[in-house]
Amino acid sequence: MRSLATLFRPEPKQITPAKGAPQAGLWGADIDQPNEEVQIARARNPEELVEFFSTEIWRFVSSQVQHREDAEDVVMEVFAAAFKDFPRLERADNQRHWLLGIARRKVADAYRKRYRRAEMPLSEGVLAPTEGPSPMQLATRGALAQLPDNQREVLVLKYVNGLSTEETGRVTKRSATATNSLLQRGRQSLREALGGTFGEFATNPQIGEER
Amino acid sequence: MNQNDQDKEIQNAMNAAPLGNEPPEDLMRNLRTLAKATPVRHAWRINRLLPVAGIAVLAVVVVSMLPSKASAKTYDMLVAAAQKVNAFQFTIESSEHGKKEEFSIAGRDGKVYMNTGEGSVMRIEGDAMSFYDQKENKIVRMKLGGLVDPAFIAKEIQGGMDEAFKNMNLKQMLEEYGKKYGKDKIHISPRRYEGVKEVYDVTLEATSQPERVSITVDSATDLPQVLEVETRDDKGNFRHEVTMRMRFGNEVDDSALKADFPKDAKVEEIDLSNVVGDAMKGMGTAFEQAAKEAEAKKK
Repeated sequence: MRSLATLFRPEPKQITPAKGAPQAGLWGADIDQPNEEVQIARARNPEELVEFFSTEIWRFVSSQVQHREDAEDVVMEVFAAAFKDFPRLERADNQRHWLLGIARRKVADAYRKRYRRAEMPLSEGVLAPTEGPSPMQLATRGALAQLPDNQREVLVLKYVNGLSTEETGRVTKRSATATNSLLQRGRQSLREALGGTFGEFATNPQIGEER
Repeated sequence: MNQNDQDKEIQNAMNAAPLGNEPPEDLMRNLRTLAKATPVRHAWRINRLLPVAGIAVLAVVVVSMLPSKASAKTYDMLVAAAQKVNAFQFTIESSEHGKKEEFSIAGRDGKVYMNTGEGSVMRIEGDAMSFYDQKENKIVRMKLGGLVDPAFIAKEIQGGMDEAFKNMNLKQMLEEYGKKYGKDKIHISPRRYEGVKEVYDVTLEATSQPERVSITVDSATDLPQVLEVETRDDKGNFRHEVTMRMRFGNEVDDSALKADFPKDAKVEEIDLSNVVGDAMKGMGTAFEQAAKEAEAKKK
């Protein structure tokens, strides 16, 4: 029998953790463990949406948009769009995937606007001063900026947001097979773009966590 | 270097990609302000209507299985009785997160009305269906022009309630509830008076379930009157979540059987008979053209 709760909220596998509860598996997937689909939270109002998902969206957006101010603008746009469509978002099977889908489109818009303005090539943008980026951070971000959009976003969803390959495919609307081959190409492109720096990530596993 | 080592390198490199593990404080402040300032119409009113109607049905079934005088009635008899109800009124009050929301649906004699705490949203009566869009302050009035009888649509909606009895197989669900959580999880109170009406209370509660459902039943008709759902908080205390009040037949409140839209609202009239008529004409022309082409090919 379905629980009485599901008569009111008939979505299975959804968890609403207490505010401030640790959200294991939300990002930084443990690569020794297979990525499993994690239902993080279910927001019932815009305030909860911010509390539950702002960190995730920030990490997704700021991994791809070069300037902090631009990243903040994009995150604001993502949530503004989500609030506007909240009744649909409220009913979505997976709010996390839905929001990442919006974020994906907003990041693409930001890239298009940036190219239209032709202020500076993206590879130069990453060298603009931010709050104390480490050389490794600059190297990774510079390398990611050289990647095709589709490769960059699947790498970020998989390795920054900790989504499984299947979930990554769901957010980007691709089959698991297509996502897997895109991830392989993305990893190869990232290695090439990082060049000699890439080996340093192997010798110092903490290096990527420097901020 | 094996695949696992290479994957670790990618992971280490990607750990450096975000501009920080947490969003900046000023961004969080702006997001919270935006969240608070955004008026949101929750979907629960509509999408929970049917599940809530389902709970009402569950209530009826619970009552039908009780070892009281109601137990003499069979499930099928109850269904038949419900189908004869010519008027209904469900009022649902939710108080999630301290915010109270109201939704009501009422129908009688082929007319149906929906109201929310923010005003009326729909009515079906006479020869038209009208929907009020609060955001646009606009009424869309669809005249059916004899193509479809609105009374038929209204009856269909009302009939949906009856269908719920047939399709949800709640009797089986309740039996499973009893098997899984034990029949002692269903408590029945002695009869008591609420005003002049004799009622009794039924409570569904299991420690493994986060909710407690209490139903007040009219002992004269064995129909549920009030259904309340409470959920446990982190400390195990129950807090009110939803109240659903049900009235049937002559008890339906007349005020629920109307939907007054604001007088200053813009009105958009759509005459569906014209729309459909034009479409038919278009289709006729298209068929005519296709026939001519087919004829030309033969020649």
